[in-house]
Amino acid sequence: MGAPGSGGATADLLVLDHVTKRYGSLAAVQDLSLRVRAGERHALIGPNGAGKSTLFQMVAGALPSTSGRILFAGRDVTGLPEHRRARLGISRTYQQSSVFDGLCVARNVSIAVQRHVGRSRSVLRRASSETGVWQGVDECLARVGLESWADTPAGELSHGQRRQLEVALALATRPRLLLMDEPTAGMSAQESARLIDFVAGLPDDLTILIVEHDMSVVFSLATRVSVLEAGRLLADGAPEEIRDSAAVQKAYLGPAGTGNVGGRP
Amino acid sequence: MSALIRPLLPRILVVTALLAAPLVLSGFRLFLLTEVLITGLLAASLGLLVGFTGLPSLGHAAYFGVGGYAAASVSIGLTSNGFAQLGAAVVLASAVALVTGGLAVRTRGVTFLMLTLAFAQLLFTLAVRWSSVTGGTNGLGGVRHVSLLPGGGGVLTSDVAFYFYALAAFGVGYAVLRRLVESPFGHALVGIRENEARMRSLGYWVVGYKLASFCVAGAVAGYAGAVFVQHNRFIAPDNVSFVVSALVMIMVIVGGARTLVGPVIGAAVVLVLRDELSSLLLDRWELVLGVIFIVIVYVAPNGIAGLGVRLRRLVAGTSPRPARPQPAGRSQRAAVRGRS
Amino acid sequence: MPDLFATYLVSVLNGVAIGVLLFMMAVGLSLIFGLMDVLNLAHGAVFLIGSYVAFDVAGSGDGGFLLAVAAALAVGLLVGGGLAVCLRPLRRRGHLDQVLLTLGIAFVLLNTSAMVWGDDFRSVPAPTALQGSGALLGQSYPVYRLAVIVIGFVVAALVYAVFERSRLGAILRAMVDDRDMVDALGVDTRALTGGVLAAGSGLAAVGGVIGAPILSIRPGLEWEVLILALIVVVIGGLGSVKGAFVGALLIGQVQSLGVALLPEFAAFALFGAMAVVLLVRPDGLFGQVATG
Repeated sequence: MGAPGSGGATADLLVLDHVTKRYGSLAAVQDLSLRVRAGERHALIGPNGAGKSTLFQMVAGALPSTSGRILFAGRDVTGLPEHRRARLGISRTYQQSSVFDGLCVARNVSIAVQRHVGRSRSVLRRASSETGVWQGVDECLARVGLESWADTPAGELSHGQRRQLEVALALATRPRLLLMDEPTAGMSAQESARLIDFVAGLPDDLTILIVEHDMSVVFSLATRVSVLEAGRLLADGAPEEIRDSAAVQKAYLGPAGTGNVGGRP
Repeated sequence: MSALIRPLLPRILVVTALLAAPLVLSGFRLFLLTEVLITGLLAASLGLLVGFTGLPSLGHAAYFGVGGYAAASVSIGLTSNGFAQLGAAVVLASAVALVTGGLAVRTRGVTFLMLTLAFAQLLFTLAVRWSSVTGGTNGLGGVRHVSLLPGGGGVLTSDVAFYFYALAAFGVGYAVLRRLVESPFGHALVGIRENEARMRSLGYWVVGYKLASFCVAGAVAGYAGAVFVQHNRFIAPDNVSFVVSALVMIMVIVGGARTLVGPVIGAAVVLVLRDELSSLLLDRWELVLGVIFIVIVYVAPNGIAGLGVRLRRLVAGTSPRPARPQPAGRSQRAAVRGRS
Repeated sequence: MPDLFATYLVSVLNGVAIGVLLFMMAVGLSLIFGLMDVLNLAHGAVFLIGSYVAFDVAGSGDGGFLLAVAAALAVGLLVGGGLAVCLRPLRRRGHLDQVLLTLGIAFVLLNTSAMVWGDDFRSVPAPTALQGSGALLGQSYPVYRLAVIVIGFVVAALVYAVFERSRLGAILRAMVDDRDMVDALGVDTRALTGGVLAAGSGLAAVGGVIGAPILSIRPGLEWEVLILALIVVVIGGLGSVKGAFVGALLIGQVQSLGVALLPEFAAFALFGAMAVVLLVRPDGLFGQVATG
């Protein structure tokens, strides 16, 4: 990575270069170019149907792009499948928390940790004796505050706790880029506030790309905001710029400029 | 009773009972028990695929058959050495599983089910048509008694001697499956069953794990097929038909797909029922079997093994949780045992 | 040359006859899977029962045959309705449980019918008006089979019309896409799925009656037909009437031509064809791509 303050391409962790996604004649994402700098808290906002989720899927590798390039840490990952990108350091949370419902919380995290420490192919040892893995599990659980729930089946957790577990899973692999898809969806004000605090407390060397509808979350967390509309990049800049931009306001923020836009992309 | 021995008690009892069986059971019943062990291992191998990895296969009899025919061919044409036959069976069954699995595991759900069925039917047709190798509809007879020592010595002619051989073979096969299931690799398989998309985003090459699971399941099935041929000294296409695949699947479901011992119990239940019922009811035993399946679906959602878990919880005094697979409890912060 | 052509024509027509019969079996199976996500392994048993009913009732001429169709339809509707009731509590449980339940029900149905009708081969004569052969391009071809083809196309057209052109069909198609959404709109999806299960089983039973003069009724037929129907469903795509029709005709042709040209390898052609289609289009020719 380039020296701090050197700016330019060397500090970009994620580069989207003229990325397009077409379904027949319908373009969900059109000719979109975007840069995410290392260490940024970068928010993606936009009205429903703007293409945020599609973009997310393409960055994660779950959806192939029709054209364009995606570069991660200087490397062209456009053709790489999802699991290879995960190994390079991209991690994600989903709109609907995606965890292992039938397994207890500790087991959930152990599956993530064992992959990270390279023990997941081991067939000779008992998983229960992998002390390195379980230490990692303890750390992860402590970090999100779920230690006392270690034995609870994930399906019995509350909505907010499932989100916490999912974040634990996503962080267990020590990613460099964390993709968060509407993390506060369905949360109470109290839970959202807790999540904001948590994300704010994450280490600076972790880059976060977050899709959000809740503007208060965006403006308290983001260091940079990109606005999508109809598959195109409408605006891109510091949160204050975006908030004050007339074009963005017209697009969907509403008259007050800080309204909560609900619904799903 | 010592805290160390207590959890092992059920296992000790079962092993002792199995070792002592020839003293109590005679002729026909011992033959049946041997069959239960062989089929139980086959069912357990399917359980690995269906219950732990979440890949429902209706074509598992094929790999059982490949192993069986391989062992029969070796016995008739090459050597009566049991280990050579087992080896040939495992190698061939794994190879076939690798090829068919390599194509099938990229699909999921019903498509996967139908592909496994298709491959199994293809192999069945091969068994029927390729008479020069498989003996066609007549099958392969004239399989020699198994010998254990190099040079042809140690021939197992008596039922009791073969029983112990089969028991040992079962023990080895089951131990391999058990170790696999309790390893990190096994935990990864369960993760794939529970949430494939999440596994991918955690960095797991899901297709690779599925294929590995498929090959192991096929290898163990082939291994069981070899022991089957060594026992019956005969194999025919009927032993690898769709009905066999369906019955093995039923054993897995009836016994409980989420554990490794469940399918073995299921095999015992189905085989004993078949024998007892068919002698009682002649041709209509399948009717009763059908009724029993229906009852089990409503009464025991996690199969018989699931009932066992609920019973154990009731006895231990904890409130019965809704049937959840693999709710691993943690006794100390260091160890987690993945059993339900 | 003309001889060869005529032989192929006979085989193609046979394939079409088998195809339309398969359609009657497969369309119910496909819709049930598309609507309820249920693998109904008892479907073959219903077909066989239809054949047995035909054997029992249709002895005496045309009137008897029509009576057999009506009787089989009634039995099929009843069995389908019963299945719907049995499957209701299992709605949220996985495929494995459904396999066990429908297999158990199949065993019960099959063995009960074997108790009633016995285990031997049975054959059913075609209705007198449709017996005999007509001349077709210099070849003689059984009139009954031509009638089956005509009836089959008529039935297919009716089913297609209901599914693609009626309001009920629109609701059903929406349910295949997203059942929960249709639920939320206030439609009684449980009654509808029960109805489809009943109708599909009825159609399969009628198929059994119509097919009885062509096939030899024997134990084991139910599994053969079921497997063929499953292949059709998978090739055509789950929940698609069009897919079931195209798939059925395709499989009918493969089966017929395979048996005529390469009897040794007919089964290979069949399963090979299925494997190829699935590997190229995993969701079937007309299937929906699974979302989420």
